[in-house]
Amino acid sequence: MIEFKDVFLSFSGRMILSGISMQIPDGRITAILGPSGSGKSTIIKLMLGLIQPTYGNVCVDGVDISRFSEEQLFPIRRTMGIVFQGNALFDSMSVSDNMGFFLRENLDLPPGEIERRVHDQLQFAGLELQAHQLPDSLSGGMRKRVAIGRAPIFEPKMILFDEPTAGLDPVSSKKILDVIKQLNQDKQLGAVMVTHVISDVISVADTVLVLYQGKLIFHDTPEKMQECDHPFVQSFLADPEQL
Amino acid sequence: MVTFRTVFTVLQAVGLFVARYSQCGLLHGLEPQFFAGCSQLYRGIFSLVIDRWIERVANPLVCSFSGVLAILLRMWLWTGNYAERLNERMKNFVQTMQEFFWFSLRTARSFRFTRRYWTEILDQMYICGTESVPIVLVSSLAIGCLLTVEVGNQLEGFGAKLLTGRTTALSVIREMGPIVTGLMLSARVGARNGAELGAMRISEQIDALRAFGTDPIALLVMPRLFAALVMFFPLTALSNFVGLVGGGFVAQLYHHIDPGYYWNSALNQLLVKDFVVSAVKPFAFAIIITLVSCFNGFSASGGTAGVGRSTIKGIVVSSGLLLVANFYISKLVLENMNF
Repeated sequence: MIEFKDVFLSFSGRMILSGISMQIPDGRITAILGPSGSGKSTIIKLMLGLIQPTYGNVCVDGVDISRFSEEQLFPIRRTMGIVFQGNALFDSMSVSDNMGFFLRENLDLPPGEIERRVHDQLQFAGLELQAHQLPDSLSGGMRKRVAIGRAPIFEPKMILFDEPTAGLDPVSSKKILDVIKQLNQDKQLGAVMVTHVISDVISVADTVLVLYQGKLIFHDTPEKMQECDHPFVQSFLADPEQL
Repeated sequence: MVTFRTVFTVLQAVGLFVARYSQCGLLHGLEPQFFAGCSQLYRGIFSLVIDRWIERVANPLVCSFSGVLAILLRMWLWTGNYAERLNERMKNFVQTMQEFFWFSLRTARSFRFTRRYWTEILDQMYICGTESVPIVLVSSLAIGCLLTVEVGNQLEGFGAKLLTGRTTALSVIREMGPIVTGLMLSARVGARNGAELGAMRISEQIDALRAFGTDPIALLVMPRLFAALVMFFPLTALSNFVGLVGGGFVAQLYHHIDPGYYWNSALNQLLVKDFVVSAVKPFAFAIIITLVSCFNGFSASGGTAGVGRSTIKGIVVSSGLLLVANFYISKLVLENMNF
């Protein structure tokens, strides 16, 4: 479980997050919704300890990681997978090398076991035929699937998705959302999905958090959003394109 | 004197201030921000009032008491603003130095992973060493030849043309060989490091490494530094040799100096300290070039333009530091060694 306790974050005098407190349980899909610049991606970086909060605590499974050093954070980070908005694939490595790179780096596994895990992930992502291609030669949707296939390579408890459907056509977006649901159902993996697309939230999320101007203004199921009386949530539901 | 517009602007500024800083919470360790905000607000209000006063009442062109007072107050505000900007720059500089110190320390600590990343080290040795040979050869040959032409011409006026070899050897081995090699490597290796790591930073690859539990400094910076420490010395030695050989050819073909005289005067006058100077510099240059370029790559921000900026900054800063280090190493070694 990931827990934020009264988290504040500011960059160069600008307040990004103001007093965020929330709990994200394992095994469920949580969507973080909000307009551009509301601090959604920042929350994911805080969860991984890539940045430190100005004030407040970020706890992973009850351990406060907000003041951990890089060395202390590495084992914590391996309990979470991440899919970056721009995929963050290593462009000089093939698809299979991208998936196996962190296994070779961080775990002392026999080569056969690494190959088996990479093969499983390629199969899961439907990229067996593209295993030896470079990421640059793949479509946007395929690259996203490589990134999603790489995320659970350490068999984590939770995967963080930063705008998983950004820049994809509706068909590719649906495939990606199906993969997220499949990960949750087959492997009981929790997911945190940062997005500004309401249809994505409704189709996959168990819980929704809405961020507005650095503050958490809604935390409940997608169905309850209609009952929320906050003007931003109401205007957003009325006109989702405004984001 | 204070018009409705001024009052309105002040109220607007107060409103903005309250909106911005009330949400950060004074009890949450953010007092410095609050005071900085106060300072900005008061200066802003004061500036507005003075501006309105100059605009409405005190005409600075008229040499009246109010005009002179208005100008003095305005100058005082300008000085305050300038001091604040200077303070901000100083703060950023000190902060960058602090970050660079920790970056260097972490790089030094990651040398314990040398065995783990030996393939990356070999790759980097090939990239920064073997692939740099052509540019080092061309530049050192050009410098050696040019130096011999100029030195020979100058010495000819004193009837001391046969000392060309000695002067060329001292110049090439002590100074020109190491610094030209250093500058060439700063441009070639430093640019590559800065651009590659900057692009990785912008495309979140460095964040991905950190997120998946891999230390990016151990994987990306340490092999580059190790490779530079190993390869810069032979490159400098090669540069010195090629510079002297080029000088020898020019001495024979252009100044018609017998090669025996050239090499005799070149090698017989060299002392151990000349070789020590030449041997110490490449190690210092390797550290400067690699750490500065990699640090700038790691700090890149602002898209592709940001990568360009960080690369340029890395090359400019490392080249400048190289020249300074070159001077001090020469001075320290040559003044303190007597053999």
